[in-house]
Amino acid sequence: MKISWLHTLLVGGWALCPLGAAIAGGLSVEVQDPEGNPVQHAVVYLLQQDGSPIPGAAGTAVMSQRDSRFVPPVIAANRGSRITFLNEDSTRHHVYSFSEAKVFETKLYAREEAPSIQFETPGHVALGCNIHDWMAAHILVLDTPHYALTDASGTLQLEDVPAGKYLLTAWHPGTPPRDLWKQGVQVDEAAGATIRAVLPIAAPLTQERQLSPLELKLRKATSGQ
Amino acid sequence: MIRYSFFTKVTLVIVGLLSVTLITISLAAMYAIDSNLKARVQRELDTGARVFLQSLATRTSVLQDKVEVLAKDFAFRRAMATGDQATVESALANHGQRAGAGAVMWLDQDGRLRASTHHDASGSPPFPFPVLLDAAANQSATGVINLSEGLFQVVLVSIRVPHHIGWILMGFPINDELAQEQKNLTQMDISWLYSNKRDNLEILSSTLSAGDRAMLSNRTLPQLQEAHVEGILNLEQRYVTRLQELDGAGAEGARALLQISLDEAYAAYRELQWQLALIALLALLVSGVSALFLARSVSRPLEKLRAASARIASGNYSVEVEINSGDELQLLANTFNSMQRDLSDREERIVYQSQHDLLTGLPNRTVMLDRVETAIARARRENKAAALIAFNIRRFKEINDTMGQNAGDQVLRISAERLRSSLRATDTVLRLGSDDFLVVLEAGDAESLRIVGSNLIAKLSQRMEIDELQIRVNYMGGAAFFPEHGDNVEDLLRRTDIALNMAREHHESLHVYNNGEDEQHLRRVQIIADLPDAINKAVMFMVYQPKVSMVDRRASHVEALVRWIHPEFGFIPPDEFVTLAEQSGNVKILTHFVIRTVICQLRAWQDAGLHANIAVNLSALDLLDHSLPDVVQAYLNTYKVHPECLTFEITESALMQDPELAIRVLNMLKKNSIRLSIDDFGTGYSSLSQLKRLPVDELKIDKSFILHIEPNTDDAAIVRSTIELGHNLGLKVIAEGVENEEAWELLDSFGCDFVQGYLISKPMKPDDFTSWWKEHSAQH
Repeated sequence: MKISWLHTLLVGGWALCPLGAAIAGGLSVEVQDPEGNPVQHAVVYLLQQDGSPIPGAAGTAVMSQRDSRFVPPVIAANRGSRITFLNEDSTRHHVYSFSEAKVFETKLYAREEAPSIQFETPGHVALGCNIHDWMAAHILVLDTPHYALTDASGTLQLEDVPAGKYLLTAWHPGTPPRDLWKQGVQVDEAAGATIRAVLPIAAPLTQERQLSPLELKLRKATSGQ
Repeated sequence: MIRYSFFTKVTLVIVGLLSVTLITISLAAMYAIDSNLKARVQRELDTGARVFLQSLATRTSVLQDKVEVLAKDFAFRRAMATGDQATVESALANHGQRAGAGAVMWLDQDGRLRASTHHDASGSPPFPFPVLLDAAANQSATGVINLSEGLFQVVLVSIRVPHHIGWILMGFPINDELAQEQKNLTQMDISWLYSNKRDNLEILSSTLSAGDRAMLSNRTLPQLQEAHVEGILNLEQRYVTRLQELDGAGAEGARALLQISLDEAYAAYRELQWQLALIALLALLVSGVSALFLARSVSRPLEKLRAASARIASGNYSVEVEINSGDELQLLANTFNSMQRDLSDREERIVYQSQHDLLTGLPNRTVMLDRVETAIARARRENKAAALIAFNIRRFKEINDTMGQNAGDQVLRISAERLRSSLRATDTVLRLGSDDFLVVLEAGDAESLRIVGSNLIAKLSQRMEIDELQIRVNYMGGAAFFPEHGDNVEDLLRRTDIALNMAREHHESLHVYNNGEDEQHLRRVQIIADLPDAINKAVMFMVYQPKVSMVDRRASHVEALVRWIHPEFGFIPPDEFVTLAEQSGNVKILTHFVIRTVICQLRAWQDAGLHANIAVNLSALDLLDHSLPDVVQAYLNTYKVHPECLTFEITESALMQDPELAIRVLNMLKKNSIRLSIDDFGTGYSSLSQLKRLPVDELKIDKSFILHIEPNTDDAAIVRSTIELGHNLGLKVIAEGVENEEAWELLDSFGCDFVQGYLISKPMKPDDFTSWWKEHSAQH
């Protein structure tokens, strides 16, 4: 399970890479919590030094629902990107968001329907499923094309970043907005040292569904047949 | 005597024991009920407390579910997530109302109040119950909070979209309604208490009565905690009490006081107590009555046995004790009856033995009076005659002595058998003593009694064979008849006895009592009784009759004769009273009196110059007393009188009883120089050979030969021969009873030595004799 998440994450990561202009160097960032544990699913992105947006092309992404979980649980996307909600389960899902950046809901949909939503407003969009309370996912809509997500080791590479001065921000859905890690960085051709970002995680990501005994029984009986 | 009867004791013991048992049981039951009840109530309270807590938890859960429904509502969540205040408030109020909440609140994700039914939420003040928030930790929580209008059970539910964006809170009032509801469920009294400060208790709601509630409000928390430990709280009623702390955030100040009235619990048992008391009373009554019956079933037979014992003690063996109880008492009664019969048999045997002579089987002396009385009474009733005949064997002693005791017994047995076989059934024969038999007869008249008596004697006197010897036993009988000889038993018995004595004395075979014999008998008895006094008090006196010598006519000898003038009977012949003295054993003192008087007289006369020899008559019994010579000698010595002045006259018959002893005594007297003379010579049966052996000096010819003596008669021949005989044996001869000159002349011609009689002088008192002697001496 974990391995397949990691794989998806990496593929997702590399898939975004060609979007950046291949002029200068990159950045290596390692995200840890205050105890020094690696933080996965953290989004690290660059803004202009004064925090203003960096224009970039919109992309697409897929937020799958597999085994009544959002996969991946966190997606970062450039403003205007379109994200497809791919239902890989046999059950239907009802994805919603009441976040300011994007309030939406998809009516009950099945595998083949795969609604696609465009996110035009930067910000944090918290996703839930109205049928499955435990399902939670986050989409960070950014005003920059320079972003990446940490892997299981809490590290990431920002490639093809034009040399210059940036505001480096580390974000995680479990970190209160006031505690976000921000730091000004100089990007040049010479590859610099790895930057370490520390994020306090108030609410770890979890989609651990609590199967009720009745549900377990139901499932077992079904698979048995 | 009996302080407490068996009856009372048994009744008291049984009733007492039962009372003690019942009281003990009742007390034990009461105690058990009491402790049981307390334990039971305590258990009920514990159970109730669990139910109470469970109901509270259930209520919380139900409430939570209700709130959760709202929290899950998509539209509501959207309203909350999008900050749609109006929608949220309206939804809260709407759902809250439907769920029965008394308070609703909305908290944002930072725990600030966005809306509240109990607070001013403008400006989003912090939620005033941070404890609850802490407990919730971005999730749901339940607890108790104290709002202005009272305690509320609250549910705080997190709203998620899907991340936590705040809470909604619903509060449900803890009020009297809830308390009552819980009371209905748990059967306990429930009071909800709140205390901010430790000792300040606030009763928020209660199912207690107003009075109890008022009393409870005066208690402090420590007091209630103490009551919780003790288990009992006394208000108007007694309560088993538990102070229940509550789970849940914010519940610190809130407590539920759970109580069950002990008094009410007891009330259920009051009826049981009454029933117990009633049962005890009934049991006492029944046992009392049973005890009465039981005691009576024992005490009545006991009383019967006691009465029977008393009857037996008084000698009545005839009534049987009748007890049919079929138990040990009946056994006792049977034993008692058999004992009574045995006693009766034994007594009969003893009485028979005591009333019968073992040798002959005849009734003995003990029943004599009874038998005689019975016979007399019957004769009197039937106007018949009856006889008492006493039989005696003549010389029975000789039979015993010569043939042996055994032969004597056989004689008695045969006699008894003869008497018995000769009598009719109505007659009685008794053996009174050794050879004394008494027959009680009935007959029509005295004559036939006489015949019967004679026949009896005849039959008794037939020969009988004893030890192969044919012997004839001589019987004598004395009879007295009723009513001829007396009409009472005492007289008849005495007179029968007199008659028997008469028969003995007169050698008759049957002497029938003659009227008057009893008086003679009585006279003799009287005389015997008066004898000792007459002797000792010198009522008796001596008279003296001179004996005159034929040779010189001198009165040198005198015979002393004793005289007794009885105050009642007058002159009593010496023969009579001397015989009676002999029979009654008084002869010794009489003899001594006479000898002493005579010796004394000798002394007096000798002093007066009158010298004479005085003769004293000795009785036959005197001759059997070998101390007599010494006594005589003592008197002689005392009065200094010469023994030759004393003559003892002894009759022939007196010598006959024990000649050897008599001769020995006479020899001793003779040795003492006392003259001895044979009195009444010629009337006895003494042989001449015996006469030869006697140490006598003189013969006195009996007056029967002298009184009518005439020449050429037999008397004259006898007298002459006797005189000659006497002279030939060397004895002086004296004749008494000389009353005329002819007799004198004749005796003189025969050569008689002395004469005595009225011709010379009557017996005289000493003074008269002295005068007579002087005159006589002067003449000769």
